[in-house]
Amino acid sequence: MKDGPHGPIYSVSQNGGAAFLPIRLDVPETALPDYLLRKDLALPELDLDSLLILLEAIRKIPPFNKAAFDLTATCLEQPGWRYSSSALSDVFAQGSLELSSELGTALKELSGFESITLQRPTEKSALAATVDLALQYQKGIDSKRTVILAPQSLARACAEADPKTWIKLTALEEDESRGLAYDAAEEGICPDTAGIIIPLTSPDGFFQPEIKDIAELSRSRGAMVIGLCPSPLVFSGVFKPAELGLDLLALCLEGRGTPRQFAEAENTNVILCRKELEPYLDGPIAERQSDGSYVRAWPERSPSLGRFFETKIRILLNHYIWLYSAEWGDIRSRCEQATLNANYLAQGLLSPQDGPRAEGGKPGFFYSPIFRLRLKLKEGVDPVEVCQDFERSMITVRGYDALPGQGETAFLLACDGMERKERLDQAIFSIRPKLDKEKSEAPSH
Amino acid sequence: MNQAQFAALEATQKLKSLGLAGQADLFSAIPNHLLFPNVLAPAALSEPELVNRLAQLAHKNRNAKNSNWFLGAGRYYHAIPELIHLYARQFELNAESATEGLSSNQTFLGLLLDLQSMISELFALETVYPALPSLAQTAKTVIAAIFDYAESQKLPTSKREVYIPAYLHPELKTIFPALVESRGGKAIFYTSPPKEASKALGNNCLAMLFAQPDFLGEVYELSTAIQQTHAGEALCAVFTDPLFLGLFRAPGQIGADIVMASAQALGTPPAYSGPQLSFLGVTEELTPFTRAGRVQAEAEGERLVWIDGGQANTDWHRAPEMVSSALYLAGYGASGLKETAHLIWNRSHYAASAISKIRQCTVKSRFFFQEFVVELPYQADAVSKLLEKNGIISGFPLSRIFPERANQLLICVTEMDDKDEIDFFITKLKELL
Repeated sequence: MKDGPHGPIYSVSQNGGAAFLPIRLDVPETALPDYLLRKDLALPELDLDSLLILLEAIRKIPPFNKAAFDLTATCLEQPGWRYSSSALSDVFAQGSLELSSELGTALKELSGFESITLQRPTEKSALAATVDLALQYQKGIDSKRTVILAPQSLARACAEADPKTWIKLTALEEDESRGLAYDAAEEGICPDTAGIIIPLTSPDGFFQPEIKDIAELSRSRGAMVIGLCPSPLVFSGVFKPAELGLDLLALCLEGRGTPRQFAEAENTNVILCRKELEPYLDGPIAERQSDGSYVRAWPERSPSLGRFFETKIRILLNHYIWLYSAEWGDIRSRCEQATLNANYLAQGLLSPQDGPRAEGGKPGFFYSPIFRLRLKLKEGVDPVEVCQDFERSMITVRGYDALPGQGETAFLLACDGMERKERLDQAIFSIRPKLDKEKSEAPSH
Repeated sequence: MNQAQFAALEATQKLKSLGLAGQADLFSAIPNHLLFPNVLAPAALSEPELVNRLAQLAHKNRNAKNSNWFLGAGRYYHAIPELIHLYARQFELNAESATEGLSSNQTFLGLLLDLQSMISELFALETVYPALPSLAQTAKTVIAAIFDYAESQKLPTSKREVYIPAYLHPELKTIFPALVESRGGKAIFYTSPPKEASKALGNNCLAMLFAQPDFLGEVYELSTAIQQTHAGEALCAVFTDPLFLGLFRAPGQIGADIVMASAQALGTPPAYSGPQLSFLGVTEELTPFTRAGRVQAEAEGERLVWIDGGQANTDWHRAPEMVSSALYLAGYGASGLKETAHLIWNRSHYAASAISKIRQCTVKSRFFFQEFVVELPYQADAVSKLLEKNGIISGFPLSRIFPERANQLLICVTEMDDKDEIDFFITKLKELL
């Protein structure tokens, strides 16, 4: 028996080598250019055990309450997901294209739009692309239309997204609860307005009561209406955003079972639009051919090799599992559950007179499962402690802001419908003693 | 009782406490005629059905495990020890809590510090930023550093030209000009070898970018080019491959001011896709102008802190890739890295040499690492599709990026393609032609 380059098998365990053994050389050697060779590389050859002990200390396994994680873990083990190269060839990536196609079809049906592109990596880039699309479309009709209107709360995010896109952005005043008012839009929409951005919910998480009227006004004056939505849980099965009169919708798919760390960063974002805007979409989207195979539509519009812009496959799998899993009921009931949980939590933490306020300041309900809760904390209570209380109860905190003038802290929270009542009660129980006395007289649960 | 039934029972209790008769009352603000439309939603599936469905779809994807894989073009199939896979996966799927507070976690910062020092050794540069969330973000950081440096040195405003190699990775190539122009500069593409291109630089050159190896796998002798660029008082930035540096001289050793590389080769599967964790190294002189995050010790042997350096986002969800890279470099060490790179060199040159002996095939690359270009007698796209039927993913048809290169195939050979697989590929290619 011939010895390999690492010596006979009984001496492999001797110390002095790297922890991972490279593969043996099995082809003839080709001369190396000596003048380019490196002779002094001195990386440490560590005892891996010490690194693994470090990793064990860092790693904490959380209790899962989201079934999608377990399923994604199982499915990702298929080499067809991890070791494919879907961005490079349609022929090699039929599975990925079919997955994208099914997701796209389902989202079009849920939203009421006719066309879609998938896989914008961030919310900001999706919004920038949507605005870009509106500007391009308007350019062909009326080149003077170059101004985009957006509510105040979005102006900062817009400016950060892409300074070139937002060069002509006009901020419109809005009310934190009511959102954008018809009068402000009426005043703002001018002959040079290319489009107006309207989030489906107000900053606090209420339905924008005048959204349909604003959309009609905007379209009657030749401006496009761009919707913005932070999660499909805001509308799935409850209403179709296209029926509100929107031309386009930038939709973030976060909030359907993906781990929390995706919330502020990389994600899958989609752009939905009316059929006549389809020529301006930049892909990628998959289309089914008559022979049952799938191809990427409009490859010439998106020459990307997927190195930067293709979404991680685990996120697509998460979306797919969220959409198709029967475990938590149908899509509409999950959407309703999420909204119900948001309101239940709010009612538990706010006193009746300070509870959610809808149109005209009347008591109302958060319409969105992503909502802002303004809490007056007891003196000395750190908002971080409150965030931790929410997190311990598996309620996602997307951020918090101190509102100095009002002595309150606004917590941006997200429910996904999978929170159990027991956990919501646990959050209420641990947070209420930290609230200012006059605000903590909430009805008991 | 399943989850859905249990949720329905709880919903009744929640509605009661809110004083509502039904869930529909929550949506009273929405006009009635829009509420609860008819949706042709897909049929929901049980867990076993879902797992089966996704397995069927996965099976339809050709992949590196079930094919002879010679595809690269930016994402590479390299060996990943199972241990790395195991730990990275735990960070990936449990990241919800595992990445929580990483910026202040001393143990994790210790791991990152190890990674930083290993990359610093690999690049041969003093300052390393180990957590850039994407190559696009790295490009942005590099251009910002170059222009901020120029402004701080009060260089003439006409000195704002940045030279970019025509065979930089196509996606980076599209990003750089926009970034340069956004800072009032001018991007100029060069096609000749760096040594020739750097001779012809004018006084207005602020920086020159090099790709080593470039998108076509070509390796260049960069030291003269870097000297010539420096002679014109311009900065040098090199985009490289970390495994290439296991065998060849580091850009920092031959005078590069900036080095950037993707972390994918170090323990991350090719279809992890999406933006890739990237490393950036700069000289001490450029450190104050580089807005990216890194680990620093408050004092010798003291507490470690994460300095974000003005980086807009530190994406801690890149922790799995950070863990993979650290384990990969520590586990293989210098000797393992060198042996792996050596193996890639030998196998890719063996494949190229065998292909060059096939009549009608010409290997266009002369001096390459891992990837090389072959001119075929027919359209590369068509040949590639025919080989796919034999389970061979033969490479990247260059016509997809360069229409004038219709018959050229970019073939990638890594340490994962053994002699038998290469020989099988050559035999089938011969039969086909």
